[in-house]
Amino acid sequence: MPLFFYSTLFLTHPQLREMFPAGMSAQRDKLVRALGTVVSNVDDLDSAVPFLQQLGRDHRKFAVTAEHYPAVGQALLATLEHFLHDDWTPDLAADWGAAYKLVADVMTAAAGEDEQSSPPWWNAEVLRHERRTLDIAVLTLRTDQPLKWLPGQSIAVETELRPRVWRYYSPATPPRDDHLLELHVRMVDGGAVSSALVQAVTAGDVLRLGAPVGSRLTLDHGNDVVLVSGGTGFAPMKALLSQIAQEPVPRNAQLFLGARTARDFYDSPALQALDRALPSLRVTPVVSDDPRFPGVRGLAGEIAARYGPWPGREIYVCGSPAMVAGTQELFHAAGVDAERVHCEDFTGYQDPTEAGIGLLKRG
Amino acid sequence: MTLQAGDRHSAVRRVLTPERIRSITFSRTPLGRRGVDPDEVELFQHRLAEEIAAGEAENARLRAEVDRLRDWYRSHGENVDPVLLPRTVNVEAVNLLSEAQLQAEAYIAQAEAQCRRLTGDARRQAVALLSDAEQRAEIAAQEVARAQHASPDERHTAEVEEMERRLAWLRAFCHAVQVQLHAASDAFAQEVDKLAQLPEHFTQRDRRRP
Repeated sequence: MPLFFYSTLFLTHPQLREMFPAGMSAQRDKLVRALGTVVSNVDDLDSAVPFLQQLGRDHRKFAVTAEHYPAVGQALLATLEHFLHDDWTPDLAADWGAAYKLVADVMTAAAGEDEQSSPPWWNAEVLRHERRTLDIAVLTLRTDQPLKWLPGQSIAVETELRPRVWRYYSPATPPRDDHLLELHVRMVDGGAVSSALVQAVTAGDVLRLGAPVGSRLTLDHGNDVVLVSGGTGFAPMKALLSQIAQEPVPRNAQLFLGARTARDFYDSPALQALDRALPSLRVTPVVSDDPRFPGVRGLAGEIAARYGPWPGREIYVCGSPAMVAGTQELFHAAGVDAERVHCEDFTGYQDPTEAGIGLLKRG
Repeated sequence: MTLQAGDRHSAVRRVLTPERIRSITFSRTPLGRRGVDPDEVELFQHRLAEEIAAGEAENARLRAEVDRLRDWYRSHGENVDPVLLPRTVNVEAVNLLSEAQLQAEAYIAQAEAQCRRLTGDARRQAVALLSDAEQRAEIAAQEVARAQHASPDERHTAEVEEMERRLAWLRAFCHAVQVQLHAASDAFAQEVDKLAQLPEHFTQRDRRRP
């Protein structure tokens, strides 16, 4: 059905095709599922409004404007008509048409409101591209306009080398007056965007950034923290620690820094700088795959949970989806309340559109 | 111009305007035959003309209103021009496009899987090479240290020098391996890029640096 929908859309409006990537298998379900979920929830549209508003704002970075909405609605109705055959009545068509119009109105209104305060996307020039290990690069970017985010949030990134494919990364720095920000990118085998960002992008290239999203990894309290990171999951932790270093009231922070081998600790100078800036910071490097490593060996989450139960502390976890899931389980098994364990639902790996659908289904 | 009421065989159907209605003349019935009151007919003609004139005025007003609304929607970015929205699409064309899209995706998926396998292999080899080199360097370093501890006298200086030479060579080797791996993986990435690239004319259009 999504296939039919997109083919109809592109046949009736060929100019829309180039707003999508060449391979659309992953993309395909998103739009129709989001639309379908929302339209079928139309009786309780109030609960869907925040999601729709976010969806409308998110679509600005895809260069979607109000003119595109009727085309999508029309293709949606044509698809339904095709599949429902005789069950498709003028009344049903009118209902769906009205429901879609409502959805489009909420989305365009939110996008229009957002226009007042921020651009659809930010252009960010790569100032420095440092290959720190075989598969990790640290990119220093400067945005053309001020971009505000909270440490721990994620930002969608697109490179011209992989047009129309966006991936989320969490900046390793808090927002700065000079508009600089730092991204830590690990190359995922076969990953389109990550391999381009690590291997092909060079200083002088311009990336596109979307508006920041996510609230699970931000500091919204005054408690002490335990940070557990795997690989480039260190990036948001670095931003959080920088934020803590700037706070007037000091708090304790314990960082469990996970990596496969000692060679994979790619940001040692930053750690030393943080150590100087934050006397209350304790860092425990943990190595999983190197029997010769003289320090602590194992999984960062394992060690952090073993040192627990960290009463009164908030726990932040970031790394690969497997690392995050494993660490959550370990803390759960150690009797730590799940509410104290902060992690993005696969931060940087999942589209917030998906998360929104999950939310709608539960709601 | 007048219109004969009995002119019903006229080939061209003329628009019945209020003015026409008013000016219709009916042919008189011959004396002695029953007919309607000509005054009543005329009165009715005028009522009819008035009604139609009022209807036309209303039509014009509504049309103006529709145009105004359409302009408003257009200026607010909403597409209300029905001609731009073909109501039905050819199902065969839709299915054909769908099939082509799936074909393309199958090729892309194949290329990506191949790329994933190759980078995975390359990474494992790289890690093995590096750790092997590291191990050899470590052993060499230990031998040097042992040689220095065990025999500080001159007879073994040559041996120590040899060890140091080997250590230096191994360090250089480690570095070379790393450099080579970087270069190889970059070259590989370029090859992968080619796989993923769309035909030239497509990508040219797509470059949207604002």
